[in-house]
Amino acid sequence: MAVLNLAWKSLLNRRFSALLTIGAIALSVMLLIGVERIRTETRASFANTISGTDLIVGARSGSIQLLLFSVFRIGNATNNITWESYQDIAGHDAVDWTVPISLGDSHRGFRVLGTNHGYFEHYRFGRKQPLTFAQGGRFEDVFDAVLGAEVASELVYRLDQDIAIAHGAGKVTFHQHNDKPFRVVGILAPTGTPVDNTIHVSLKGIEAIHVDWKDGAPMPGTKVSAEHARKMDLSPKAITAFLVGLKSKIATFQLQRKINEYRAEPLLAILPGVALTELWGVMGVAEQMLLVVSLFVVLVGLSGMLVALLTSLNERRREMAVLRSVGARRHHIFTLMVSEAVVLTLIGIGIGLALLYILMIASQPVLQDRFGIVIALGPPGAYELGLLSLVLLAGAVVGLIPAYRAYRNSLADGLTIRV
Amino acid sequence: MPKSIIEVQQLEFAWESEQTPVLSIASFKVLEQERIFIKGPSGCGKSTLLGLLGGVMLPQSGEIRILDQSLIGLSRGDRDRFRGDHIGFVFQMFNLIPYLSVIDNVTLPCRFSERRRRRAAAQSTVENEAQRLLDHLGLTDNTIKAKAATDLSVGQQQRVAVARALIGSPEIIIADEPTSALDTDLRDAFIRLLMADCNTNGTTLLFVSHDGGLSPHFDRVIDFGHINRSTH
Repeated sequence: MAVLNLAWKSLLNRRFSALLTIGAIALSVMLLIGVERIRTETRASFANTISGTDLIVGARSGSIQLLLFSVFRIGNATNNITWESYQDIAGHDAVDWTVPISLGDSHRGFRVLGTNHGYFEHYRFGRKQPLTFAQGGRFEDVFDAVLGAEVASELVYRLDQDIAIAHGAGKVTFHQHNDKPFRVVGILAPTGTPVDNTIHVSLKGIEAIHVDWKDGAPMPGTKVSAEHARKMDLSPKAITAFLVGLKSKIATFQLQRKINEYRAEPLLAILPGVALTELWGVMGVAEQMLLVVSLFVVLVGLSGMLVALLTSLNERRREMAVLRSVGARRHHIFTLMVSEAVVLTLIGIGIGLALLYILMIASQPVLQDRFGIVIALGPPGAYELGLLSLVLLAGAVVGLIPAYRAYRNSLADGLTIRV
Repeated sequence: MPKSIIEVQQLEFAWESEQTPVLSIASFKVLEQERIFIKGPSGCGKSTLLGLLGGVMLPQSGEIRILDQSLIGLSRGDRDRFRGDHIGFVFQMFNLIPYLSVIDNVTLPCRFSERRRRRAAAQSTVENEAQRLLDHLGLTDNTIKAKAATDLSVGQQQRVAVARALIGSPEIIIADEPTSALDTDLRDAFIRLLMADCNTNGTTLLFVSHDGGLSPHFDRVIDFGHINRSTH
């Protein structure tokens, strides 16, 4: 205890270099825990890109492929599902609700998704948050469109604006459905999910823009005007995929097997949570690397402390000789040096955490507004505490190096004070 | 007949890297309450002897007994403790820990030696004892005690060092060139104070210096060149 008091006074005496060391450690700890927070939040928000949906059903392909196009709007479906099959499964006893999804068209690089009102009612993201409208409301007419937040902000679209939807998913498309413009009736609030990048229209709208198309190309000489199309039978014949909500989760695997063994056509049902985890496993490497990099930054911070402590040793040789002369033993010298390192690291950790929380509180409104990400402001979790203890332990270990050198010096110097 | 407090027999010491010993002492004795002046030029091995007496190093052969305790048989930690309990040191300069106050510098040995802490606190408190010693050494000015150790003059620093060596009444005080940084006036005043305090406490004093002019103050003068047979 006597020595701890000495360590503290010694640090105060060298407060300038101590503050620099603490600053370096604080910044590196802030980065480490910040990266860890972001990592956890991205993983959580990724796993919750879609929530509240029990099964996603599409034509038979790979589960990740189905997830990619149905949830992330990446890639294309290999095949469609017939409306009859969809109706059949939707009518199953265990099914609470279904939301059909029809993909394949785009507008200036943003995917167009055909669906029904169930989408706005049942689609959930994050912590089971429902979709909300920033402006306007759902589509009612065949040629109404609801924009995701990112679509509206990037293309600077307002309500009541007319937009043309193109066939195919590329940014540059040859066939624009110019003859049947859609009107913006709603803009969704940001979700931080691919919903932000999606243009939502009704299934009938999708049918309407394709009535005079056949095999992916406009039929020559059979142009159908928007007004005419509106009067035609626009009930969909096929969809790309559909989301299923069950009355009880217990039926999940049973229904999944039933769909996977569906006789009329080859279908695939996936559990979104499982597929998302599978997909994250592929992308998780980058996230691991981020943590490794920030661990190295902490090492850099600690080696700054090592340098500061080692350079102080020469001017402290006299101090060590005096301490030895009044009876300081080996463990006193070690405790003195190591506790200085531990105190520096502890204060660094404290300030680093304080800085991080200030930063998180300051940036939270922006993150929520712009990206729909809600960062939990809770106390450090078990894993974070583990990381912090690791940093503290590393700090103590770093302190052993100058401690050993100081003791070695004091043996060589004996009780003479080198000037 | 007075007892011997320090006894060195057939001592040989060489630094690890060297073959020839820097110290080779057949016999060297100090009696209780003796004031001994050890004279010798710098670099003759005096400091090495002090390191051996303090138990920081061990000789390759020979015996060192202090207060009837052989240092040779003690573990490293026990030697450190023994030094802290029974010996007070005063060095040539830079005696004080720069980040401690004057009072904290004086009471420093009591942090490491329980024996000296108890003895210092026998009258009242450790801090009061430090005050008393400082007063006795002429550092009565209260502003000095509040000062940082590094703001004192060299003469004042050396007197604070004496107070630190005396606190808790160790049996032996070893002073290694304590006056070489002082001018003549201060030097004589310093020695008188040191002597007076050793007398009151019945402390044995080992005073090492190259300056033969100080020898009249002492009971006995030992020429270091005579006891060290090593001719390195």
